[in-house]
Amino acid sequence: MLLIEGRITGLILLIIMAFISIYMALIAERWSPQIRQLAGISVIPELIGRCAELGKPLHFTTGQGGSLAETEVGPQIMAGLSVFNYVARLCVKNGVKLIVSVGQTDTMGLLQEYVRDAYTAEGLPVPDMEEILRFHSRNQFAFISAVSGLMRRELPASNIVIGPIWAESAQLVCSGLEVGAMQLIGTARTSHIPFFAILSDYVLMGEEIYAAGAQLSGDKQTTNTLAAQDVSKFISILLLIIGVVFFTMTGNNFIKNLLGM
Amino acid sequence: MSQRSKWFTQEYLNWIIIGLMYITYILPVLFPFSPPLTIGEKATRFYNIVESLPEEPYILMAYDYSPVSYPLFQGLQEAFMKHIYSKNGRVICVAFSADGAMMYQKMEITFGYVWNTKTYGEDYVFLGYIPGGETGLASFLSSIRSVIATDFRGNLIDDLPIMKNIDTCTDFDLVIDCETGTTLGDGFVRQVSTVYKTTLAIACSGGATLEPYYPDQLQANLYPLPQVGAEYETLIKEPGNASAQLGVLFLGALYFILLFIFGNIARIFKRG
Amino acid sequence: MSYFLRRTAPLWLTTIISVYLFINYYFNIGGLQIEQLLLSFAVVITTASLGLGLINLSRSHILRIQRMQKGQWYYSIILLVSMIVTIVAGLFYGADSSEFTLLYDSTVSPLGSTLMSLFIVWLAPGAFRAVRIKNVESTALIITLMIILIGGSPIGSAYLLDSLTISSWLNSVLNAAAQRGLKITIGIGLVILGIRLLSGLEKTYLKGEITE
Repeated sequence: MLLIEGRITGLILLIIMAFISIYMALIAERWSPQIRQLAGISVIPELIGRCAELGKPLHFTTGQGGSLAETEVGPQIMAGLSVFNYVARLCVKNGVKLIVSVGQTDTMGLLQEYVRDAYTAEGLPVPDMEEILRFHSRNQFAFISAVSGLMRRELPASNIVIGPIWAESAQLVCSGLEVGAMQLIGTARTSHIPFFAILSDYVLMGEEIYAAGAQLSGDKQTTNTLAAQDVSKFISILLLIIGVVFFTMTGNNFIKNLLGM
Repeated sequence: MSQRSKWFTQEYLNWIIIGLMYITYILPVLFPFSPPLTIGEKATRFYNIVESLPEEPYILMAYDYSPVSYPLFQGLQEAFMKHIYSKNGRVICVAFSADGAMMYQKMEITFGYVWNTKTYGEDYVFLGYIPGGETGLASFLSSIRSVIATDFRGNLIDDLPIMKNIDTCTDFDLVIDCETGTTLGDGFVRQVSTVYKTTLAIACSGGATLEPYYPDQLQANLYPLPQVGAEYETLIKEPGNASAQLGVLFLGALYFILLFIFGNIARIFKRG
Repeated sequence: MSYFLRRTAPLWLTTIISVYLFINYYFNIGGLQIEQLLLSFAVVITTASLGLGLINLSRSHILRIQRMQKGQWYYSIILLVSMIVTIVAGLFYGADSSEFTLLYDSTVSPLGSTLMSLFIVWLAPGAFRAVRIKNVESTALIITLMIILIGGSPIGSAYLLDSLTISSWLNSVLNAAAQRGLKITIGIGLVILGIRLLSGLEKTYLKGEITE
């Protein structure tokens, strides 16, 4: 058989999602859905404004460890970079000092480019990158020790963390709390989302960080793919409800068998 | 409470809390004790899975944790390997994190009393660190020889008797991943269970996040550590490192429970 | 570097390889060997990125030493010396040698444990202050926290067996339900992001290279 057994339903669902995404992107000029503004995204100007008022820097990081090439964390780092592009431009525009803690080796070049573009767009001379982009370590606790120390020395008014974060998450957030920073944390690492939900001021949970990058890009085509994401979620919810109802009422596991085809 | 004692506790509260914490953790080290233990469902299920493996099973064991977490996994891994050797099994060790390779070497010392009675290359082998995260894992599981040609000691894997009929994930009877923080947990489920349908066990400090996969795609979800390690050691009747930690765990958990209770009581009195 | 090499070529390369791997995953086209080769390329590229990290790190710290950056330059010297010693030990003695293991066990291991222990020293006073009953939600949170803590520790196993049952139910029903929801939405987000990458809508990763 040409199609591999056990992967047929996955292929069909993937094709449906791809079709919806591309169709939404193609009709972007004619029609755009009303996208709910994520609270974590709409607060970014406020975070930067706070820094400008208090005359303190803004701290940003895409988390620690991993690389853009890794399946699990690469997309999260990319989401963080999309948000950083927006944050950097806004910081430069408002004259806010930006400090970036870098925990991945392969993002340095991209971050430098975003910073350079931000300053060039405002017609300002590009400053010393060493002062802005500070690579600490790929080691988990070495990174968080460096970030904690940095936050106590620089006393940022706002802290933005978008990307993969591991066990150092609680320490990271509490360092921000201790220096009185307003915090926006976003990650798709489900095991650490509870820390941020409780301790930080704003949180982006799971797939919201992927949506954040699309929303902040301002590109209609990219934003329309968020609608495709929601349609896919509705399909999943529908399958879940049908499966649960059928199994509960009749003991029939046909949805599970269908998905396992 | 008098003004003076109020000032004392506010000023030195952190020191009091940390000091009490140190006493709580040092006491069971100085005066070891073992609280009674009830075997839980997770340890029992894992024990039954290992018992149901065929004779002379081939196991893939991944070291994906750092030195900080070594005490969490040591008891469980050593007990597991003793259980496997009781069935004349073979253990193929690998690391998908850079620290994992050093953790294997640490285990060569702590588990040396068993491994010294076995033959490297026949009963166990370490293939080294495979970079690339889940992509590296996928590549490794699809064909070991496409990723590495030698083991960690530099021996050609084709020369090792243990690797004679082993090249893909389907050649293993059980895959067990030991990791902290679900770095590769979802990746193992996707690559091992979904693609190859091989029996999978994951020992993870963040095991609660892998609960959705249990027990269909993840046949054994081993947490909380090291408690489940202690239960497993009890099941195979070989108490080890995990069982030795029960006293510390007991008092540590008790300390935090009392801390939360007294924190709230203190708040009520403060408000009063 | 020309626009073709910086933008067009990487986009086409990513798309062609991704589409090939995608087709090979779902269809029986006999492309297993090519797939294995491509996956092994990924392993090599990741290894190379470790080397890139080494270069980045060295460059950054050499600059700090050259500029005699206040409060930093001596730490940079320590870092570079440690890095060189570790590399030399690994290359000359081998990563499986007792010398390399001694180096690791005497530095990285205790330092990592020390840094981790700082976490718990901070956690205890923080827990005392933060875990407070303020409203209905925080009460529910604290009760759940206590049940999970008791059930997941030897206390529940020894004396409070009901807590084992309740915490097991909380984990396998409530927690699993919440985690499933998150995992499904994250998976969908990843797929849509992948489609955006392949269709060229997402260009974040194409920007820039290190200059200066």
